[in-house]
Amino acid sequence: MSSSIQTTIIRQPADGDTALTPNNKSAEVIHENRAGWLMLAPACILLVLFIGIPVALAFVLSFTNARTISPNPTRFIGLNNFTRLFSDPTFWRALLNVAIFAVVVVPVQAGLGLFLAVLINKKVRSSVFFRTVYFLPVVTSMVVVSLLWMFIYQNDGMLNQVLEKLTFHHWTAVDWLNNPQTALGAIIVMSIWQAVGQHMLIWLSGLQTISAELYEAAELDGCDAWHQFTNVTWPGLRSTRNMILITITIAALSLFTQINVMTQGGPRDSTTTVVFEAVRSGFQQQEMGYASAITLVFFLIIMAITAVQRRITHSN
Amino acid sequence: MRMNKKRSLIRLIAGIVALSGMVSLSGCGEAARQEAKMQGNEITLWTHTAGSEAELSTVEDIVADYNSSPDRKGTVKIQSFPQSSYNDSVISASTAGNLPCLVDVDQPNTPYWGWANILAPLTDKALLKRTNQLIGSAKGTWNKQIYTVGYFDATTALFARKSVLKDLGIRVATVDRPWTKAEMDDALAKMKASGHWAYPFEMGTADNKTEWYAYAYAPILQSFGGDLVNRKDYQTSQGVLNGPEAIEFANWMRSLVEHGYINSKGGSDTALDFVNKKSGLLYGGIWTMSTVQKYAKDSDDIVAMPMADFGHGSVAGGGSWTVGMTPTCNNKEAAMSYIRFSLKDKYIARMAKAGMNIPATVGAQNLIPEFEPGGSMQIFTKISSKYVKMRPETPAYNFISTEFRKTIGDIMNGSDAASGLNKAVNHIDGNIKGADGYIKK
Repeated sequence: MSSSIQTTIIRQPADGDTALTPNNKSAEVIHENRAGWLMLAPACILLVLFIGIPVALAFVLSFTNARTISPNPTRFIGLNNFTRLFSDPTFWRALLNVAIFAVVVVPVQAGLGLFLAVLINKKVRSSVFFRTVYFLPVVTSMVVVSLLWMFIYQNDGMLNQVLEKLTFHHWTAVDWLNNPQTALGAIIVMSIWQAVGQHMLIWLSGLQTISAELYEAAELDGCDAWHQFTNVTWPGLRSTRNMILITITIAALSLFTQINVMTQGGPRDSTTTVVFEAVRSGFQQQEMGYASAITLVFFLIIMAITAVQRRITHSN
Repeated sequence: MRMNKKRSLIRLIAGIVALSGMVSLSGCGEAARQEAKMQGNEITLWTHTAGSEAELSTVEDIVADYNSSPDRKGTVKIQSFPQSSYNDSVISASTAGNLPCLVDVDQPNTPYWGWANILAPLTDKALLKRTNQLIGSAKGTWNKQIYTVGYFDATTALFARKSVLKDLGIRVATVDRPWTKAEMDDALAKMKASGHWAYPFEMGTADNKTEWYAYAYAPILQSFGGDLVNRKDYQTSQGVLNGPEAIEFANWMRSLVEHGYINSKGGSDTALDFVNKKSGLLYGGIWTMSTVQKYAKDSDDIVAMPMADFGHGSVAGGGSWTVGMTPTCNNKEAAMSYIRFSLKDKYIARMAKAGMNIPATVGAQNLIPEFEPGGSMQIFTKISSKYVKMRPETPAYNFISTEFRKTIGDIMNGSDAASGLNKAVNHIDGNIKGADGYIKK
């Protein structure tokens, strides 16, 4: 302790002085190191405990025949889990479903969020009211939302009833969640409705960082609303855009809650997802090794996609 | 510098160790209690009945009686869990090594839990003697040993209204003469043609998160002549789950959807739907009767019948909640003496009555008017005793059940029966091999 006080005392006059002796320099480094380590410690411990160790475990377990409860010792089985995984059509179907989900949800949800944000960014009296309304689904639990939408999507549910009224009884009821053609679409619509408010809010915070002077200047230059948007708003939202893109993509790829509540991956795998398959294998079927293999492959896929996205957004 | 880095790391670790030491010190009170538990012969019973007041209060009464009885070998303490999270709680407790002495077990899980060292076989002679007096389906056995015992059993049946059957010219099936497959198909066709219901038949297809598919549809498969797994040595499903009989069964299930007899995703409360006349024929559990007796104004018109005979005899589901002992229990004598104490006829009768299930002894059946000869529930006792077939007594059952559920669900939604069943058989056989045949060493 005394040495550290000493170094601080010595450090004061030496500030900005290039003639710092090597001895003093290393002492200062030690001091800074110690403080740095201490401040890093809480985050590091939590990261290692809740991310590092589980990831490492999943990595190791994916090469074993580990089961949740078993009297037999766990043993390494090489790449068996992976060969089984890649030869399982359900896994490929899950990947395809997740890809479709992401390809639709990412642009539509981001675009709709931006549209809503631009609408309520106007300083009118009702904007707070609309902000609240759009944000309500976000603060509602996904499980609750899924249950409610299950009723909406039922054969005699609200959606079919409304369509029937609108078409003067020419509409034949569709069992939205129980039809392989419509199930994934129904889940996509609901998911966008649920999460769009959150991204609207992030867009909104981005919009409010753009200085009003820029708009004034654009107006003086004779820009109409559309040109203002493309020349002022859009470039001003660059960092917000990147963040939204990455968060929506990751959230879309890890689709699970809706599936677990509404369809259990059916009918005929039309809504199954990679995370759902992992949970099914790991917890319902208690094959931890296989489930770990699924999550490991999924982890690598997400890493790759995020890396590509970063590349693209940076080269811009 | 490297030295210092190392030193600060060591300090960090020392700090963590000190911190965790403090945490464990603060847990000292709990440790002392644990110690007292061991000294004072207190044993804990985990039950899944937190959501069912009638059953929980009965368990509480039995435990209170035991704790004040002169023959007690220890004190029993109850800890109740909601049913939906119960199995997960037991499995995590087993991995963490904190199992209580006594646990509730859903009967089909008994072999799996016995294999995984969550349950120990019952050995007390007096207890085994009493166990022999119970109906067969109220016991959980594996490897020729009894692991768990139950107070009651549930079963499955068809429910219809006599007036409806009479109007449509359909015979009321009896325990001695269930419908044949032709009669069943004919009944469904007549009901569909009557136009009273969008889907005349309800068999709980929406219940695809639980074990219902395996519990209720495997009996139909067995009546067709197939099975979930080859029961000779429980090593493969080849030939029984994908044989010609199984394919016939799967095609029949799909034809129910194709003909519009059932919805492949039916109602969420099938019993209430039936009471409200949203379906004409219901395939459900014995618990349907609780809803009928509570809500149906025409409950006298409602009749329970055994499932149809598809060629190899009518088959009814069996196996309900039971209680067993863990291998880590430190006072097995007390645990088994409690189980024996709780198997008195009067307690069996109360437990069975709480959920309106079939009491596990004849003595107890005679204590409940509904189950006495001539009582309104006696039909279920007859169906169960005549047609019950237990779910395969193998640790693989848990996995088989999830595969069966998914496969039959897919087939009802239009997948090809043969390839779907072949895939399920491959998965099941792979799982059994991966667990070294589920043989206890």
